[in-house]
Amino acid sequence: MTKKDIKDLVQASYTKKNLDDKKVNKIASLLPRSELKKYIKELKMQEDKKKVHIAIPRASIYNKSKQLFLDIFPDKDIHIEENKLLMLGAKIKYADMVYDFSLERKLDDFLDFIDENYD
Amino acid sequence: MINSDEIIKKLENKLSRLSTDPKVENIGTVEKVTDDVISASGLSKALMGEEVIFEDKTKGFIINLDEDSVGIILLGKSTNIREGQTVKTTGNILKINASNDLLGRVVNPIGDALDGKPAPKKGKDMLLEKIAPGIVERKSVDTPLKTGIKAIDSLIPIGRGQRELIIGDRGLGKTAIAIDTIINQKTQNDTAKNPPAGGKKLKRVICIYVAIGQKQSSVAQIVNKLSETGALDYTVIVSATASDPAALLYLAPYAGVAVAEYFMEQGEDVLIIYDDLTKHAWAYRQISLTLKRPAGREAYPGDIFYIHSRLLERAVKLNDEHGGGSITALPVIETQADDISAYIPTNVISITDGQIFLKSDLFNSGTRPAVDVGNSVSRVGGAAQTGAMKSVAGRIKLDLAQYRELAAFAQFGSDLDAATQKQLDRGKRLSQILIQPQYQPLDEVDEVLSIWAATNGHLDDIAVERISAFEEKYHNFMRSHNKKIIAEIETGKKLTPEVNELLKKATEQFKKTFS
Repeated sequence: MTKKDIKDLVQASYTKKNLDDKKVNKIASLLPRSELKKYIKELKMQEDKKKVHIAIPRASIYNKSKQLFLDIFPDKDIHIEENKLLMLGAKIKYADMVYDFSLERKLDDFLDFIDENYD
Repeated sequence: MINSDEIIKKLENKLSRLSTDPKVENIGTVEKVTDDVISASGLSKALMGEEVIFEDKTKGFIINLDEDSVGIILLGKSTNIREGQTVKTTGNILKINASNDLLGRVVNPIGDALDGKPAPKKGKDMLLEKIAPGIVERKSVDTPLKTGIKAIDSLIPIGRGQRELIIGDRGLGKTAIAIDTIINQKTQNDTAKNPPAGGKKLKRVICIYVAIGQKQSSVAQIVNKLSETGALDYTVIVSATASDPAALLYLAPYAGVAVAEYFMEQGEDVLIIYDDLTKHAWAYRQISLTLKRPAGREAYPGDIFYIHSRLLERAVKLNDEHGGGSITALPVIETQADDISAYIPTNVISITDGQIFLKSDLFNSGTRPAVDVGNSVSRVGGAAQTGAMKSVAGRIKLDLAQYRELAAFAQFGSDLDAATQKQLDRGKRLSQILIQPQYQPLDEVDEVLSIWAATNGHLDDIAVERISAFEEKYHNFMRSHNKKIIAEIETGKKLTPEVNELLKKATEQFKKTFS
């Protein structure tokens, strides 16, 4: 079974953009072990694409900015995580991209600049 | 010394320019770890050759881009890297920081100091992978690079900007030729500061020795020898030893040429030695097989020629509009059983502008350097020789060729006519005069004197076993008693009939005193 076949099976496991348990169980029961591992891995990757992980210094910030995030990531499952180390701003992880708007990152960059330019 | 006010001002400047744009990172997950080659999923926006960093701060770079994964080779140890860990791109393509502070230092291919001294001062970041200068920027090779080895400077002359391969079996003196060439640049660099009257002013030569896959003890010996002879002051050593990851062995020559380009851009002449490219090919084969790239002849990947051709094309002589600098490359290849028709040797022979072939039977018979004059060639030739050397070297090539033809007959022990016997005797003496001890490169004046004496028959009445002693005393005599002749030869111009006559008289005078 080729990679394309596995991807087609993954697409077929969804009903109206949601994962269908019955379809998944049926497909899983028909696949041999090696193909099943690839199918599960591909399913996880597909599910990951539907999620957005947002780290913010205080959970209360999200409540004020909820609509903004929903507008930027429509139809996505938004997971919020509190991380006080960020100090200000946010860190957004979507698929394999990370967008770091935090004050922690700015200060780290500043420290790197000092390290690189001064003994 | 920078004062604190200046530092504060620079930091405030940096703070005011801090951007509100986010830092964007492309991340991936480690899927597989195999022999310093990592397979990672994600990293969909990664670039070929981009540097990546793992959770434990180990660095690597991307060498393979597949549909759903990337192949990364590590620049450090893989012991702390586990499946499922995160890896991030850095946005940087591989580079090495080069500055004048690298002279006299031993560094690894990513620029870390290996000699126990503080890190070299920051200079300019030079890309490891770079397109070679084009045709318009180049100039023909016209300036000699003197190795100080008589056999090479007379018969296989090397010019600045040339690529000359040193090829032979293990233990025949390939590295010895390379190190002697570096040591000889000390005299050249001193002469460059005070050129002789009437002579052509030559620039100093900066040397870079790239040790690929060698024993650490060997590299240490080389460093010590260069330090003893004062050659380390103008030499940079880029070292990736046998215990380093294959990625560092693969990157070492590119790091070396990147440092060479830094100096060349300043108008300097640079000599770079890759010792040796056979181990470089082995390291690349190891990486490619681990990445499951299709294996070709002798299990080497399909682009094995390209990794050497793009490296050696960066050795160049630039024209004056582009700074006039040059990089001369002396790649080293190790053969098995003198077989120069094997895959890697033939590849590199076809790339370079000539080869110095070292033969085991010559070495075993005491001819050292064991240069096989018949199979060695310099495609630049006389353009890379001074007039003085050219005027004596032409004869020796012909005489040696005739000697080789006749030597086979001499083994039959048949009676030979006087002319043939004379030719054979002359050939033996010419072969003997080309023998030279290690770590004793000669100045061009001494080389010209030795070859002139041999080709003009002044050694014909000296016993072969006494020629070395004769040569040493001859040089001392000429330098102390015949300064006018020395000054004429130092100009580098073709020897005039008057100079030849003076040489003849002085040589005959010396021979009377030589007992």
